Amino acid sequence: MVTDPSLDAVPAGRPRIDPSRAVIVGPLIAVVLGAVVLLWLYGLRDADPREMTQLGLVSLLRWPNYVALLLLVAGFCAALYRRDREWVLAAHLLTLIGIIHATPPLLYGTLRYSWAWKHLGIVDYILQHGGVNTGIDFLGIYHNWPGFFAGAALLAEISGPEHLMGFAIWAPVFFNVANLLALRFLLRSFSTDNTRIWLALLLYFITMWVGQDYFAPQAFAYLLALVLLGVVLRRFRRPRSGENLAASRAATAGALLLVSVLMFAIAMSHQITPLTVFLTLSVLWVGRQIRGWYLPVIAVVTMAGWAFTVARDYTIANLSELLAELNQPIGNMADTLEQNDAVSGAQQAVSLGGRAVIVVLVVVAAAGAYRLWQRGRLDPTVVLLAGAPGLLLFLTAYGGELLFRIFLFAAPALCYLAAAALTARGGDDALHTEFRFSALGTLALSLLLLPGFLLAYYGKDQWYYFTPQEVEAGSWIVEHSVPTTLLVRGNMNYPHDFRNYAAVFPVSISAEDDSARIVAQPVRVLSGWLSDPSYARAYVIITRSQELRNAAVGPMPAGALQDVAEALRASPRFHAVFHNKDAVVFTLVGRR
Amino acid sequence: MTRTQGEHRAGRATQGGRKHGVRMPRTATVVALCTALLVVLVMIAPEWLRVPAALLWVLTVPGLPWGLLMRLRDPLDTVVVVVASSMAWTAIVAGGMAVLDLWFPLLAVAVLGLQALAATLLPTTVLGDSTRPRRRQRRAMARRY
Repeated sequence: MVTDPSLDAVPAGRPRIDPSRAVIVGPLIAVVLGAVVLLWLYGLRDADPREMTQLGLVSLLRWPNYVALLLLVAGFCAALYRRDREWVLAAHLLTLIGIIHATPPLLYGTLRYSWAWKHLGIVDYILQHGGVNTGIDFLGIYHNWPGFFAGAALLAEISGPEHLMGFAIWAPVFFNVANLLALRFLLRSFSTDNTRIWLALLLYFITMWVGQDYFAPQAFAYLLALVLLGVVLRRFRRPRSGENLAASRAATAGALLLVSVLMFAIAMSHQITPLTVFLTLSVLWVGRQIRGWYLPVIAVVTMAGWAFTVARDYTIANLSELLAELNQPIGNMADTLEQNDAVSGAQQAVSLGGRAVIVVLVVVAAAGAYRLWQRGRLDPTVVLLAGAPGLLLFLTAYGGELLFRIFLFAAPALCYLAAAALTARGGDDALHTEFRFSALGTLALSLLLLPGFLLAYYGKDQWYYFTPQEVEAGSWIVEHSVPTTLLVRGNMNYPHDFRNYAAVFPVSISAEDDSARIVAQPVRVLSGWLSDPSYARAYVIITRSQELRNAAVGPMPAGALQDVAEALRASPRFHAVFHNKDAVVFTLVGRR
Repeated sequence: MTRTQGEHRAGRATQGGRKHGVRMPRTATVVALCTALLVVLVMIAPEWLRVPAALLWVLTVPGLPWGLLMRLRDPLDTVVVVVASSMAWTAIVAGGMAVLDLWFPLLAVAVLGLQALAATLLPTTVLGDSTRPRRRQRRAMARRY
């Protein structure tokens, strides 16, 4: 079946620019966007990531950066007002993605986020061993859902493993550009109104601070999920009166096969994304928005099939924990809120910034839904897409990250509804005043959202950034690890486990129940651990970013890890086998 | 004309009728040539050529027929379906090999290429020709004429 997606379609409105003005639009856009990029670079000309404060990369931004963003958003609003061609709007959003997401790779030169480093470790494991080990103790979850890592390993094999780091560093830019296309594909199944679609896209990219766009299975699975939903809404949506039902057997059957392929890749790569897709498809089917009972069945069969066959050991071992989280919406929600309440100082502002962005978006989306409902144009599909991820609250706490994941999956529909609150009714010339109002409203909303977005997205970069010296220390550990090497670290926030990770048995001081005792008597406790003869080698590593993270979010008192390092340095029982200005590695005297 | 009518007509114009027999072999030829070229580049090409070629191949070739199968009118929509299905197939084939401890990268490339070649045949074999009237419609037409 082929459906007409323009449920609440309004005249799309071709540009009203007269031909003489159209000639200058292209060069003008190029000049404005060029100026935006130059201003952004100028603002960061002397930026040193080492000097970031607890506000992260925001603390390095100067007035030219804010002027650049203002100019960019104003240019986008003007293009919306003029109802420019799609490429003009796309050029603005690509510039936005470029300056926001290419800045960390260009400025840092090292891989952002400590988790991304261990993801490299799984790819390295596959390259070294030619497979995964589903029974492995450490990071076993990645071995049980290896789709993304194996795909990355294959790419590394055919392009050269030395390029893997480059792919990982630039992954956020790739995933955001791909998400732009995927979101456009999805949103175009709701409406043919380009103004509303591109406004929704702008809102998405200035609110999506959750940071699930790095070298990770969730970024991969999210992209596939967006495309899967787009395919479902194009080919399996229930027809409405007056819609074209011209059937194309091959197209429908092909779409079903494609949905199955996408679903299988998601199910073998990530845990929560297939669950969200299943919930969304079920809600759409129960709400009679899509036809085909088999769509949620395909989702649940692939998800459960993978979890109870290839990943059965991991699933069964963690089943009781998973079942305990069932039907505990308040507890599951509280897990996320508690994790974010346990911060202090500037990090509270960062946390509040993120929450404020979500609240503002939800309020504006509600206003948009009301506006559409008043006109009888509220598409139930969009409402269900916005609400379905909320059902996750009844199923899992997802390690205290659940609310962020719900926001991530609900964001496309929320942004679409929020855009509906701001877009004018139609493309009539008489509505120019309304278009002007829409453009000003969009500009005002963007200026309201951008500070919170910048705080939430960049606000933790003080410890998400790793210096080349820390990378050097991490590489030293990799090179000097043999099977059964004990590695004690302050916490996991440093370039860790990115190569040869299975050889190392890691222990984080911050994760120990008696971390206060370790900090009080580091020499005594750590010498006891490191002298254990069951380990071939034993090291303690303390780095700058470990200390920065601990100072910002704990759980130990600020400066605790520096004190540990000082105590070990002063002790005759330890000696530093590697040190530079940002990291130090100790071992026991007389031990390799 | 609605978009969907347009998509349907576009599908008929390109996928069905006389042109149907032309487009799928062309896609199959592109897939086969690109896959063969990649294998050669992996073995002999310098780094500056191998990296973009590998990246481009992984992001486009395995999903090329799947994107075309969707018969979307908008080229950017087709691009995103091609990229997503390419990534999905790469993850499935590589993940399967990793789980089965059968890690042979060039074999994975070959399997992905063969999968894409097989997918080019889907519209005319497994799925049936979209422009061919269903049996009930054929009977009705026969009665009418």
